[in-house]
Amino acid sequence: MPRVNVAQSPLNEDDMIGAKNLSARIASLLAVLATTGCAGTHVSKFNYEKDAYKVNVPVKDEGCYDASVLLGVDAARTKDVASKVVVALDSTVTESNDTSLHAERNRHIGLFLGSGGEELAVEWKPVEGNKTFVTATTKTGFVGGAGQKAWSCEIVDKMVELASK
Amino acid sequence: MPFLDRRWAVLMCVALLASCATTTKVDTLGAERAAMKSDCEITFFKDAKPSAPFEVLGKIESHIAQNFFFGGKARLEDEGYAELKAKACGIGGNAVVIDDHLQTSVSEMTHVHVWATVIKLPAKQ
Repeated sequence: MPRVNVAQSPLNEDDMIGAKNLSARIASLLAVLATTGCAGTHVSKFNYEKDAYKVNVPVKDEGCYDASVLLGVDAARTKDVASKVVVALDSTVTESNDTSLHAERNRHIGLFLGSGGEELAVEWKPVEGNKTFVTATTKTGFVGGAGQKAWSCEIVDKMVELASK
Repeated sequence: MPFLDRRWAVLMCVALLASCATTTKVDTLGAERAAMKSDCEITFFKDAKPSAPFEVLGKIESHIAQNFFFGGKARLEDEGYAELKAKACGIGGNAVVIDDHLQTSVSEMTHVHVWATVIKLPAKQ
């Protein structure tokens, strides 16, 4: 008959309960991180309405994940301005065509914490009178989320700065 | 603690090296000109193009990043113009037209981005 030495069992009842609590805590923490770490979408809630926009006056959402503006320049200049602005905001353009561009912010280890990795998207469409309607969106990810921020407000502000020169 | 001192020295060197960086792309247009001295005289046109006719020699795109704590704030008129001047002299220009420029700050880094055209103005009579 094999003998079971209870005293040498690796986990007693209290240990088991503790391990379950720890697992539950880790699962809760991951769930919180997963929901707070990722934010933003590349589908803008802003649409062009003739009377809702003034030239070079941005309209932004509260968290700056989504922003829009009516620029007083044509689509070609808008593309030029959008490319320059995302590069100036320390990003690399990953995809570009005649109506949109996508970029990703370069990653850095800073003096305080790591940053970068946010996904940026700028879309534009020509409207009447040689003007162009622009939306900018930001997606932040789970990895490095603590050092990430929403850039859409800054994108449209800088686009206005270049387009109004 | 000589080992710790050495680690701090290495860390400080890395911090100083990482405190500023300049990336510049020069695209020459047309026939090549003889380079001039890097401290040649350059006229800058920031808000308007020159009224006199000129020859376009090239396009410059420059990005200057500077750590605020180690080098102060990067500015177009200081670090930007110095970089443009060196590159414009290098391709034989005597003036630079600023096409676009942006100054941004991200964390402790300050950035100047400038897109410019190098030109040759006719010699003064």
